[in-house]
Amino acid sequence: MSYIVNTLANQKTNIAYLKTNVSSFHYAGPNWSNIPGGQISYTPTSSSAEVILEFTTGVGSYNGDAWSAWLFRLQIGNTSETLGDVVTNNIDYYSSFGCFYTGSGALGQGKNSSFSNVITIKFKLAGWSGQKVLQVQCKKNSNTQDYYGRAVVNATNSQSWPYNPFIIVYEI
Amino acid sequence: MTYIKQTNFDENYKIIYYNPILVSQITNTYQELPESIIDYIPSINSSAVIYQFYFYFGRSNNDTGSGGAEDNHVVLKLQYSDDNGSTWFDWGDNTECAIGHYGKDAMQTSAPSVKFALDTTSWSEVKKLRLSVKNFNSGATRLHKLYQFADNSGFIYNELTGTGTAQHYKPSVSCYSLE
Repeated sequence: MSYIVNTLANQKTNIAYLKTNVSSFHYAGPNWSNIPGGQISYTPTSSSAEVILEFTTGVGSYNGDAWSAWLFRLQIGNTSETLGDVVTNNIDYYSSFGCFYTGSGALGQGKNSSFSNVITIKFKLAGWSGQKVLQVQCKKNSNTQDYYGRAVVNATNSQSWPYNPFIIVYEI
Repeated sequence: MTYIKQTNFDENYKIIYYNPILVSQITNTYQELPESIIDYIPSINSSAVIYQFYFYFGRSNNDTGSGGAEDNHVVLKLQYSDDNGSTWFDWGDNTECAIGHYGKDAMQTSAPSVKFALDTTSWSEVKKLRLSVKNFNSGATRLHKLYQFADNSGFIYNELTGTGTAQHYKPSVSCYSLE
């Protein structure tokens, strides 16, 4: 007996979805911080499953006047209080976004820039047993001079346009 | 023999590529993006609909770069119609966003996507969805048509000098339902 599959619909299975309503931006500071709306609990169907996480949010300049660059990483744990790297040194569970100003001089000298976007970060994980917490974190990607890296997430500008982030986790 | 059916849920994925492409010169007031229009009804028992629009944006000949300041920065908002496009309303729920860049001596050209997760509460009939777009400040951004590009032999297309054949990026709009 033969079966013919005419479509490849519903390739995603065991889907978890979470959208978070926000009213303001989240500042990407010099240290790693949890992105509001960047956390979800997930239980794969088996430890041999292949799990995909997609996180979508808005990013933008702080006060519309700075070069903006972000670092993102994924963390995992049994609870939100026990988050850690996905693999040793969290290799390949980072991402970066934005643009740098490589010149010298402060803002207000015609060297400023404003930047906005909607981004989706996608990670693939090996399955596990039981429920775990997945958390996307961010920090600014810059040196110690704050005006070279003022950046926000969950909005496409710190003054306007908050963006409701959402996570989709599924198996393939 | 036993077959296990994991789900009966239908993602109801729908994507549209419009042809011909209507090149859009962006202004300081909201205008319809024709290629972003899609009719959609969520699948039964869906928790959300993901709306996504892929497009190209960059400078145009109207961009004089006055003072070295370049502005390829636009604002988009999602709207819906329940009467086949006669009247439109803002979707709300933080579905207005900025895309692009403003800066001195710098221009951005890109093929980004705008993506929103839409609640499906009380959405049981076909809705028409679209994006409207305007300048973030007062730039000269244009959608869907490349301004110039080159390889090692020189410009393949240069709108500034009028050489070569114009090239476009075909935008697409899609929706699918989440269980």
